[in-house]
Amino acid sequence: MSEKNEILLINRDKGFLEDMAGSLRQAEFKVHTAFGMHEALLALTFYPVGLILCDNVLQDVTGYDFLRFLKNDPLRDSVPFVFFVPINDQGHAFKAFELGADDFLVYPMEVEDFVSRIKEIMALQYPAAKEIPVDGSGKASPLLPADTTTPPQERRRAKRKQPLPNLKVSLSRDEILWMPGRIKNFSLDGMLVITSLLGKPGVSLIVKFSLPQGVVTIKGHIKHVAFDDFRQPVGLGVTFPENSAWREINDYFTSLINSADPGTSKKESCEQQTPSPPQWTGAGKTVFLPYQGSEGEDFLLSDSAPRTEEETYESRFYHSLVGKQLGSYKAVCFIGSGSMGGVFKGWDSALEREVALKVISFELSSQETFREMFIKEARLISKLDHPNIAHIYSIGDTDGILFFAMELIAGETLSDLIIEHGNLNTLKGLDYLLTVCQTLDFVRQKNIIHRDIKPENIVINDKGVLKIVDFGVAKKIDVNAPGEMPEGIVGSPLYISPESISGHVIDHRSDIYSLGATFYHVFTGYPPFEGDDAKTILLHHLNSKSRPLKERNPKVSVFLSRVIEKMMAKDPQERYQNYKTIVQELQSFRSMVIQAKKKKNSFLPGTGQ
Amino acid sequence: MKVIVVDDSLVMRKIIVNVVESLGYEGVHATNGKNLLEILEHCGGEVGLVLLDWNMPGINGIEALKTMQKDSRFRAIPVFMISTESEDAKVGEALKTGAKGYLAKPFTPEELAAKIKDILG
Amino acid sequence: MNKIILYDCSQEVTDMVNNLFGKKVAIENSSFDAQRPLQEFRMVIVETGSKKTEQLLQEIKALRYACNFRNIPIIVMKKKGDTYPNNPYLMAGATEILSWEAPPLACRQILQGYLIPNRKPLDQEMEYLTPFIDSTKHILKTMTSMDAEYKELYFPSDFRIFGDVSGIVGLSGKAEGNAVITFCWDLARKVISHMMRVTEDQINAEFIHDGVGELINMISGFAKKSFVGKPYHFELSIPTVVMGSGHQIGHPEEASIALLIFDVEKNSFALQVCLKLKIEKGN
Repeated sequence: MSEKNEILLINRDKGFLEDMAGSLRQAEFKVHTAFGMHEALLALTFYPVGLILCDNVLQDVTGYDFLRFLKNDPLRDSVPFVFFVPINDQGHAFKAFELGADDFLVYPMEVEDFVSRIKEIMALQYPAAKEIPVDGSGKASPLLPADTTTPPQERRRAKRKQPLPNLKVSLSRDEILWMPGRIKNFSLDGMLVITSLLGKPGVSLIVKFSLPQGVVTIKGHIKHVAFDDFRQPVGLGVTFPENSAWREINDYFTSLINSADPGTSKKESCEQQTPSPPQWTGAGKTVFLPYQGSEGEDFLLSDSAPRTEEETYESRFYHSLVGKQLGSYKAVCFIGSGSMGGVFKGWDSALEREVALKVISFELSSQETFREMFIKEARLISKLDHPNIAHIYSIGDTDGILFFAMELIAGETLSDLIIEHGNLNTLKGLDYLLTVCQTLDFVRQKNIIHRDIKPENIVINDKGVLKIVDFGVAKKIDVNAPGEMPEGIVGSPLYISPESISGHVIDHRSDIYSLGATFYHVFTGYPPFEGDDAKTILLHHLNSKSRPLKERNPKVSVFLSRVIEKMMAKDPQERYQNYKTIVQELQSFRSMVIQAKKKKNSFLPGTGQ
Repeated sequence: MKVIVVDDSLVMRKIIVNVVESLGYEGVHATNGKNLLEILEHCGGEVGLVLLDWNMPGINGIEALKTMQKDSRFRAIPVFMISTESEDAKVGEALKTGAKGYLAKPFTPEELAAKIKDILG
Repeated sequence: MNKIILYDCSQEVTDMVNNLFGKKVAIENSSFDAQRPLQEFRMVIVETGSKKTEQLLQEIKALRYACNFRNIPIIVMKKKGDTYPNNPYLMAGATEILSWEAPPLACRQILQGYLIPNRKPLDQEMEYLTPFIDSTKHILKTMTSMDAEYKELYFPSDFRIFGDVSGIVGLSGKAEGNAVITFCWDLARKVISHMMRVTEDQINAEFIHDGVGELINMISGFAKKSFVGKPYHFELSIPTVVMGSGHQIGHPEEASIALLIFDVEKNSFALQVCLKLKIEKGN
């Protein structure tokens, strides 16, 4: 195979042409020049031209027309063609690549840069040539094995195909920041992808393909960068190593096109109705992740989901408060939404401490009756001084936005702990139950019911101290008016007491039920009643007997089961009437357990006691 | 006399080459460690100074410096490291490996010119 | 008195805004004008329906540029029955999309939320932001001889970039997060041409993208020195340069995102820094 390493320069401007040719000759290249297509074709006939460097406008035709002409000529369509155009013609880069150009350079360009770029291009085209290919990874491209059936130039001239429009990829330089990209065309070498991510020719790029059968990640290199317009995404020409998974993806994409287009290869479509997914050889870097469908037009770049139509007005409201000043508090970041409102991590500038800011949802805060009740209760709860109750510091009202500032508790809720450990049928779990009983007893002395006891409302802070939160729905029982009707049903379906559901007057024994239900969940790992919707669960609370704890978790002691079941008696009269009794029973049980542990060194015994 | 400027950033190379050429030397661009070694092979005899960045893809600055030190042809060429890395430990490592000096980014052209003059006289 | 500007909005929308805010807000109605600076306004409202979506998206993009990186929410009011997705508006630069189908209470609260004044930074935030501010000024002065004046900062609720070209660098180590510098083209070209000491017409896109990557690399690298041995110590990742606007950047949960605005000869650029201490969970 003769070495075609002579360069053909085509440009209207004689002076410019001579300058360019001169620099290349100095770099030891053999150079021919032409002013237009006619001369260029002559040169191509007589000389072994290995590279064409062409301007956008020639003496007789445009550079693009010339390229088109060459690509339609089977004898000359494989000669590498590089555009070298003035800076204000930069906008036609895409067109150039679509027509089959190999690269697109822009002048004015410093002579050294120009010469080194040409050297790079020549080296890439002809790796057997004396120059070692230069690429960003610092590794020399492998010399082609002697026994390839397809000659190298032919492989590189592989026809570029237009993919189906829905093919999307993600690109990254560091596997941390990913940008979406759209494949414009592809071939066996690689692909042209439109993206906002920039890189320099030669640097590595990691590409993630989302395919129906999974996600595949391949490492490639940027061959060229094309800017069409400064405010638009760019086109990155990406090449992949020869024995990477790209080969299979290329085949897969090709088969998708063929199966979508009935005109081509009828035989193929008969043999396979749907393209079969490629068999990954494992060569190259492939990572499989469960398929994540992407909704909307753009990929997720951040961890948080994009704000969609479905996102509630509530959360969009909380969103608007991030970074704002609420009274003397700063809303630093959003933590989550609870039953009544959204919680933010906040800062009290006056006392210089971290706080939790609970902003009441607009639905509730717009109701006058709620506002009154809320303010009354906040005052009430702020007077509760107990180490196991999250303190309330103040309430505020900024432009109709109602919120209160309370103790920020860093830790995990019982709900988190259940998920982490399965269940907490341990001494610690028992101690938590004891603490809550003692706390609720204290609260009861002030004639307050919590009304929303659940695992999410019991937090264990970083120091291991238990805190009950969300007293916001608590209500003071008016001891002088026992017949008073409660305002609507309050509580969570999984732990709510029967009398709350049926709308009867409730007292502290309703909390006892909810506490029992909560710790049913804590000790077994399952809530007492389950169902597909809230209504089903509520009916269970009213009518069904809960499954024995031992059935759910054989390790739960009989004694503990009995206590929980009594706390969860349907009729309040059948339950424990006060916390003190529960505490006494639990404490004696606890002593027994500790004794037994000392002897056997095991968890809560499962039988006998 | 040639001064090789090694940095994967085109902009940085140009800035440094501008300073080099304003002092009357011939600036040569190299995009990374491997490129530097190729150029040295080609014209090492004419090189009077190498201005070397640290973090580059492929063969980084320190590795290139070590390779130069091992080669008797290039050991004598003074190497000056230019980098955003400017912790004492890093500077120490560069000097120990054989760099004649260290310049932290960012720098003014005047600062760079002064450092070059120091080495080349 | 808060001023709100309504661009090409119907009487319906004007009435709604009047009803929601009453006398607390001064409303100005105007037809779209890309050149008008928006600094005096606390909010911009536009409406769908009367224009082609493509045109509205372009206008929103232009308005976002006219905001000059300031924290001015752009609210899009959607007509009844308009089912066009929200994301393209958010990508173009809109802050929130409200429709007539939304409960008026929700609209009021959301709009009110956006009008609440921005909070000032906490001392512990200034601890890691001050080195970035100093670093930015220093890098610009040293490399480009230009004076960058630090103007203001606020905490956006999203980590999104709005500008023509941005350099992003990841920070990891004892503290983790990102630092992003964002320019509009004209200023980017100006800054890079100063850096390379050539005239602006010699600067092509490749120089700009390369230069912006170098700038954020140097800014973060220089800032990093202030944190050695301190709790906010971090290492840098390779800088990534990104074109265009609307991109959302991932960031650690519960970390505040600070947007710092710098002025260079009457133009602005933004530096967004998000840094969070990694807490070792002792268990």
